[in-house]
Amino acid sequence: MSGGRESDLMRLAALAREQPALPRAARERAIQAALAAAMPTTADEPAPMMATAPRRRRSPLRALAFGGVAMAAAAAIVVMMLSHRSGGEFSAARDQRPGAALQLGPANITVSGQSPARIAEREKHDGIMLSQGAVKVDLPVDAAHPYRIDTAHFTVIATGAQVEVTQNGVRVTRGSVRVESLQRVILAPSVEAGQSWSVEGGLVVIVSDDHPAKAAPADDAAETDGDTARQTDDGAGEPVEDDPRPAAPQPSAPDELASARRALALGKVGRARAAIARALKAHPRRSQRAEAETLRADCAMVAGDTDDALSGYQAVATVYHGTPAGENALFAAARLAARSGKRDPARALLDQYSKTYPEGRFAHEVDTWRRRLGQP
Amino acid sequence: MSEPRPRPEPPDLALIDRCRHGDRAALEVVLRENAPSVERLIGRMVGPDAELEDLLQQTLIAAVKSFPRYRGEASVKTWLCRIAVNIVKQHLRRPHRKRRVALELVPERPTAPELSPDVRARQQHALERLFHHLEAIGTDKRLAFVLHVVEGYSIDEVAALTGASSSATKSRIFWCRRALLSRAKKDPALRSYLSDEDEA
Repeated sequence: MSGGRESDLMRLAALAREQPALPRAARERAIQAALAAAMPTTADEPAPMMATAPRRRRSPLRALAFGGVAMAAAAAIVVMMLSHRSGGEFSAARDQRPGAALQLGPANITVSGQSPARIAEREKHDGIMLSQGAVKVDLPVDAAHPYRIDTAHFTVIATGAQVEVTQNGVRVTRGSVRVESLQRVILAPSVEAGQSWSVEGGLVVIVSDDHPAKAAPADDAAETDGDTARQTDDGAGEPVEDDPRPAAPQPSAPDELASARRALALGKVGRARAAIARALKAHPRRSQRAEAETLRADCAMVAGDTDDALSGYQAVATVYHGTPAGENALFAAARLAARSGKRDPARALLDQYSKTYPEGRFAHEVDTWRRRLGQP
Repeated sequence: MSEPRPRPEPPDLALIDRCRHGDRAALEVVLRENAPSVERLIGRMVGPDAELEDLLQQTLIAAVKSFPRYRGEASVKTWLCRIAVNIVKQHLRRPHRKRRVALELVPERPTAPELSPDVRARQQHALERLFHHLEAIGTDKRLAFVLHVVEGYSIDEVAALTGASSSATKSRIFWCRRALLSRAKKDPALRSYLSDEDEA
């Protein structure tokens, strides 16, 4: 090869070396994703076998959007964390065809959607890892222990609930669930029947509030964060190893509240009230108490006792002022007053709502009701 | 012909052993130490590609997962590079891979800050054309060429990294050189990088 050609090649090689480097943050994301795939620091535990690394596909435009990048990185981290977990806690993952029905532990699982679901069961039979696809999970209503459904992005913790879990969210059709990140940070303290929760853009968490009166207060998260010793009273907490409860399942407050919701949905007010009473005796947490009292007002409304319902909602609105439960109850009271022809109390309650929660979730409906009621 | 490669430092056997056992702290040390060079290698193999971050991530994850099987016969850096080569090879062979330029890629340290925007844009265009031609030449030849000519690995090292024999590696580099020069001469964007001397 001539010297000229050699020097040409050297110039082209020098050009090839002029590669722009990744931004520091991108390199850091890659390192963190890899570290997340590492086994915990245990001396003799072997690391999992080589797994196919996840592939994230992003268009250049989306790569510019921080949210998209964050989601992709987070998803990859989480997928790797799940892969890591499969090293010990889970059975081998298996692909299940759409429509397949499985009985895994207490859960009746049906693969939903058009694509197969990859499912691994927890060795303790108290949950599954859904690393691909979507499933419907039906848990017995009298279940005493929470059931965990891990996905690539989040964990759904359910007790006696019926849910559909996809890689992007959860839809609750019975009972209530809690949604946590894989680092056990609570993302949604309570997603209830009729509600769905989803992740969009990796950063935005959306609760589709089909049933606003049942939303859990935001302070639930803080309470749970600080209550790591025993969280089984949340309806979605985990059993602790030294759980002193007797072997026979004893319904907890969230179980009873779920039962009350089901009964109320069927119009069985008496049964719902009995369940609420049991829930209130079962040492409920503040958020659960708020829910129980809201449900009691719901019962009165279903039973046709408007005054009792109104005073019940107002009581919740006062006691839980400033919380989502209080907000829900205040709006429910205003709406009930408006619907039952109590125009002046309705206006007062609507005004109170606007004053207390100017940016509230029902601000738009409140305006609509105010217009509907007209001026005094 | 190629840049001399620095002699690798003796390995920290205790650190490597901790990595084999999945010790995160040890892994972090190793990954942080080697990530820039692995990233640079991947970048030079794939060119301006939006999936550089993905490829780096895949490489590091594969390394973490495979560490228990690392026998210590090669340096960690070489071993990581081999993983990177395999990951990149799979990436380049994907049939429906889209050629995309990463808009997010920005030089951390501008290599030639004194260059005018116009010159830099021309350089960027030339870079893209160079990798366009390398892509057309074929994955195996391209990788052998980049590893030897651009990265400075010896023929035997390239053979080890790519899992090919030395003679096959030599052949690939030869044909890639020839094809690349031939293509570059016809490409206006690359002509300025070539001498006026006619081919012998």
